[in-house]
Amino acid sequence: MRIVAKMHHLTELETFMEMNLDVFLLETPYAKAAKHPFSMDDIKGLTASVHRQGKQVYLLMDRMIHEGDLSGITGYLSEVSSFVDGIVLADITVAIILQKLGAPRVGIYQPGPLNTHHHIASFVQDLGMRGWVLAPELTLSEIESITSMDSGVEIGFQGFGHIEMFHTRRHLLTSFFTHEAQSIDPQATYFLKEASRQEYYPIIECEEGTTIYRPIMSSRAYLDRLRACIDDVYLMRLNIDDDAYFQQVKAYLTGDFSLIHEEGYSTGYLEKMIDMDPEVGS
Amino acid sequence: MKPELLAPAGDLEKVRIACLYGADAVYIGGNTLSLRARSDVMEYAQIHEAVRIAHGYGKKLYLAVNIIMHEADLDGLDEQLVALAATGADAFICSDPYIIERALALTQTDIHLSTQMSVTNSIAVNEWQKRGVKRVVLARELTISEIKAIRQATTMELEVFIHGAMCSGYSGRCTLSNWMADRDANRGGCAHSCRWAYDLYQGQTKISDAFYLGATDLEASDYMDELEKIGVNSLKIEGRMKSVHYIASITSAYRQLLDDQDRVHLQPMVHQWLSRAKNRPTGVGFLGGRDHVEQIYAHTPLGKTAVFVGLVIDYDPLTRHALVEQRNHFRPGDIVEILSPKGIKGSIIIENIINSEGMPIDAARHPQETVSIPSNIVLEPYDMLRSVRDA
Repeated sequence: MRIVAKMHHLTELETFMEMNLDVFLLETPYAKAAKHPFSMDDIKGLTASVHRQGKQVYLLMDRMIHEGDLSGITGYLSEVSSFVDGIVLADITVAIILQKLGAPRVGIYQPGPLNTHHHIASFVQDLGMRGWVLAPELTLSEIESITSMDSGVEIGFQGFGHIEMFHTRRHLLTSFFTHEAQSIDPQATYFLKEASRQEYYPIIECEEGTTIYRPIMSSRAYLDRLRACIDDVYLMRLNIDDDAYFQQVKAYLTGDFSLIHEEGYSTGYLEKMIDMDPEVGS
Repeated sequence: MKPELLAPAGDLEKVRIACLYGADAVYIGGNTLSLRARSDVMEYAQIHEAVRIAHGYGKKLYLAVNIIMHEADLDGLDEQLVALAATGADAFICSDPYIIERALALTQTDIHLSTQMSVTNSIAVNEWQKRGVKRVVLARELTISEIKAIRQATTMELEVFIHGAMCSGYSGRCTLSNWMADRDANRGGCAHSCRWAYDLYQGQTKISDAFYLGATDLEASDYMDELEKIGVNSLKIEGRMKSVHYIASITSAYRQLLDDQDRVHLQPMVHQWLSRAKNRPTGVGFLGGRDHVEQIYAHTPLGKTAVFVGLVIDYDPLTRHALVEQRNHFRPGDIVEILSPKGIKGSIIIENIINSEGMPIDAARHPQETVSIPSNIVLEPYDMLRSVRDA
């Protein structure tokens, strides 16, 4: 099992190298809610360095792709697809473009809650992708059931951090502050809270829209079982202090969580079954 | 070519009403790919009957089979798809790629890709066409110019939402309900958590207790010309769980708009007709561009401008009396507007009400009781009586 951790700055390369990190996840201009996108030159340089250590680089390109993005993203993919190891995508458009470009199998399908059963693997394979990331809403037993099938493609899981639970093309914070005759503070950190729940949900607005995240989760208690069935465990970094994040990454890499304090962290859906009741928009 | 008008229905009565009030096609929910039946999804026999009703009116019937499956849902999928196809439905509205794959392999039924898959560009549209999908229901996040650009880049049938409640987030990718209410939105359990009030914090400081994610409902009557000119194939009304009055009012208004040669003059009336059935503020969504997306900042329901009071069952032209099934309280002296499949026929004053035993009564109080009322306006079965605030 590889640990996939998110890098924010070039200066962190050494820190992650020392940890012996398996996969370096880098934001691109096509990443959702991107706060730390790397330039093409930086991606090239970083990838060369990481490859020299026998490790891998994944790019995050998980925005929904609209008609106006097509030309730009095609050019971008034609450049990066030849040297990075993985491209994490939420919209199959990215995979289709990669296929049309004749790119290597680098796509990794991560559409949030849509990857919920083992037949998705053949869809992923058919679109020329390298792997897929399971829906974060799956229970551990569902994960084990899915991964017990020989899918032929790699399987990932978001195992730590604030996991996305809502994404809209709307600028919700800007709309709200405009309505209130106030201005959004671009430096501020915003959270939502529902009155009856003692939880805070990070909310981030970017040019492409607004994203809301669940409270922080950790899968450390289930690592042995995940190790048996998952290829990549993603450690998300949003709203986590740099040092705390480095400690988490190190702990997931070594399995030594003795220095980690996780009070209040949830285990996500790993042991939680949600209701199934049919009425969806069409 | 004039686009199809596609209306929702949650039961057989609504299927009939949608057909009568001007839909070219109706979509309903099929229950067999779900683990629990609800009141607004149908069993095979009912689906069969719905198809028979729609086809009897020369209309099409589409089946929503758009859950995102989990491992536990997979058993029996093939048999269920074959059984659903045997009902004679004209299309399946699907989102799960595996359901699409199996439906294409096992049935001759057309596949429409649900908006739950959030298709937002022509490359994705053309990929689904290559995979055998007949139509794509485009994501509700598209502007009119984006829809136009997609139309120019594909021969795929395109369907666009024109009216009704909208997901605030990209459909199919929202798990607010899963987290907040333990209900899976992609398997029908959406708790509409986006419409709840949230506290907004800036850092540690609470700055509002009324932050809403929810958007206004969609009302795209002003875009009919453009959508038709662009070449959109189907215009969809949301609301399988809405009332027969809602379905009749909205479908009828858009039908008249689509059929009218001079839409500019009809437009103000259409806004009024649509308002008869709305209880939430409306806007034009992303059709008006990204900067025109309206949000809701308070949960103050609009006062209804019309209350559906009775459904006409029969009319005797000799006695000029109508047999009416009560749907809401009404009494002698009330003024009611008559909505018919051809539009609004006018208004009448309820002069008296006779119950099923032939006795005059001071009010029609009981749901679904059958009463008789006089009407000088000739009424027909499935005409609707509604009391209108501004009549």
